[in-house]
Amino acid sequence: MKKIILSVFAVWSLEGSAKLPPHLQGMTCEKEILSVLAKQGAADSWVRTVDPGANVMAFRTPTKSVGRWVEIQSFPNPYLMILEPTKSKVYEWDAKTCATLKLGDVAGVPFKKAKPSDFTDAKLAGLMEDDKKALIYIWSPTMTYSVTEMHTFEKVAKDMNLEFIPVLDYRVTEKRAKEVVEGRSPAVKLNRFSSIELYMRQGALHFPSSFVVSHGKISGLIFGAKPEQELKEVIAKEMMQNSGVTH
Amino acid sequence: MKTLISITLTTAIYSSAIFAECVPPRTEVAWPDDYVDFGAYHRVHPSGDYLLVSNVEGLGRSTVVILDLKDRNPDGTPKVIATPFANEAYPDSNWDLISSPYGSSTPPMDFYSFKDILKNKAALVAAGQENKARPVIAPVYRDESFGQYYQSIAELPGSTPKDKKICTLLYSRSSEKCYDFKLDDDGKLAKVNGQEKNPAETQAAPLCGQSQSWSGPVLSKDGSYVSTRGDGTTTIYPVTRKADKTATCGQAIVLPGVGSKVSFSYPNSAPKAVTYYTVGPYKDMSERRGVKIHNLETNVSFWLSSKTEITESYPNFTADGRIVYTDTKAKKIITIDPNQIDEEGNVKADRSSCIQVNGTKASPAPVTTPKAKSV
Repeated sequence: MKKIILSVFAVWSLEGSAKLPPHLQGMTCEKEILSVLAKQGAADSWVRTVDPGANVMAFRTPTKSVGRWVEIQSFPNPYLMILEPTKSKVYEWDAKTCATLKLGDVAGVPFKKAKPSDFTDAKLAGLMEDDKKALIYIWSPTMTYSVTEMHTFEKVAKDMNLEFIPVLDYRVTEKRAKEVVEGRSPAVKLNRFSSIELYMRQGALHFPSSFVVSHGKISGLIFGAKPEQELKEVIAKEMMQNSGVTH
Repeated sequence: MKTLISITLTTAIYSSAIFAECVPPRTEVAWPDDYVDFGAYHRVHPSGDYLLVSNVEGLGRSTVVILDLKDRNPDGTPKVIATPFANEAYPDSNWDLISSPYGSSTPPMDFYSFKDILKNKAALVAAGQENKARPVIAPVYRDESFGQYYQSIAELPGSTPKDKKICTLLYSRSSEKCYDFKLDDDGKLAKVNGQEKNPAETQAAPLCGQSQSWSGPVLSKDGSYVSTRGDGTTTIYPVTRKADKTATCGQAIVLPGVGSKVSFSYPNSAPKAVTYYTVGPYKDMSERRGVKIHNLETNVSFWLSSKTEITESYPNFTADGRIVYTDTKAKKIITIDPNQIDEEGNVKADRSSCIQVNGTKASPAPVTTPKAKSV
């Protein structure tokens, strides 16, 4: 598959001119960190995420490749992770000398062993590459509304000519998932969540979480269930933003 | 049928040193795995004695049960009380009334009396654990004007068990609706000339004139704050309520690095804080699903759950400032006192902070080795 260029964000930093998030500019070993960011094609779209510990901040940003993200954590020794299913790396620098302390693969990256039926970054990239219009609906039997309100999302997707793609929480058993959708019409395909791209966009924190794919782009997170009309408005707004038109 | 291992224990940390009158730093109760799936939506009684759990069963049928953490089965698991509630039922701050929405845009929103649940507890436990028919319990009040998702409820200052002044905030359109319930001793609508007196209520309207919907808005226990989540941050607005039932929101307080829906502490407990469930990576990039607290006075978050625990549900405060959450890996309900946890997640060796139930301080217990819970 040809390389997918993810142009989700309006402004990209050019390779070689990577930036740190404002909170971390001027941090120890900045030069070394920026060099890695530039090589990885990290966007200047940093989002602060959950602090790993007391007095330690974490920021993450996408890169130009679907499913590859960078996260930096402000431990005393700066710590940077490149997350993607197969080629993840960790960098750590000595705060005094800025010598590289660690460089290599890491074991903890989720979604390394995707099954053919899973919803992967490759499938997401395929949707974007083919200029498909789709509503990705991430659900879990642990969250009531994500089951009971699935029909609303499905109907809205149909009304708006979007392919409806239900994606199942990767942590639950297939048995539990089947229990709650058994007998449902139309039947729900149990495609499991296996996407770093959606994971880093907080798609697995709350259920349902939804994303709109259109104009070769993926939208921001649509959080939770919504009434039909409001959902249509939100999706229309996200599609407009994907198209580059903003009001 | 799974084998239940019944464990009710206080962690070994202070097992030899706990004073009966003190709030222990941490207690654990085994999950009633035979009867209830974990679900993710939980609410906690102000005493910490009851845990409301929302779930979904076959054919997408919503069920809500209440676990009685004080009244246990012989195996030590909490009794499971079936309820007539649906979806994400949300109690008021004192658990007098419990709102029960029906989802989608379909009315109604029902309000049930918790006293009714307790009065029928034996039959409701039989329904929850023995698959017997659940007795019919009617709502105290049915609001036919709306039905919505993700409501939160604030109990306004001046509210009493017989004069309940509550406001519900709805996710959709960030609309708030307020009620003044006159209740009798049984928690039912009071009667005037033999007729039940419906609550005085306002029309649902966007809180603080919000023209855009907030994401995952939640009212604080007394309605003096509202929170809204965003990418990587959660924002809190102070809410000033006026006599004409309108409200204004003050300057935003940004909680950096939170990004989740939060649960507020009770107004008179300390610290002033929110607690939340979140997911973060370890240094080896494996995920950490756990519970954090954000102190609103210091603007600092720290982990409460240990890195060996896996939490997949919303934590909540009790009235005395403890936090209740579940560990789905160990299948336990955890109650923890954040006042006895330091900002690195360790249980404090200094027991001078031990809080008696009546609010006064107990004598310091002997110093013991703190439990290591570093990130």
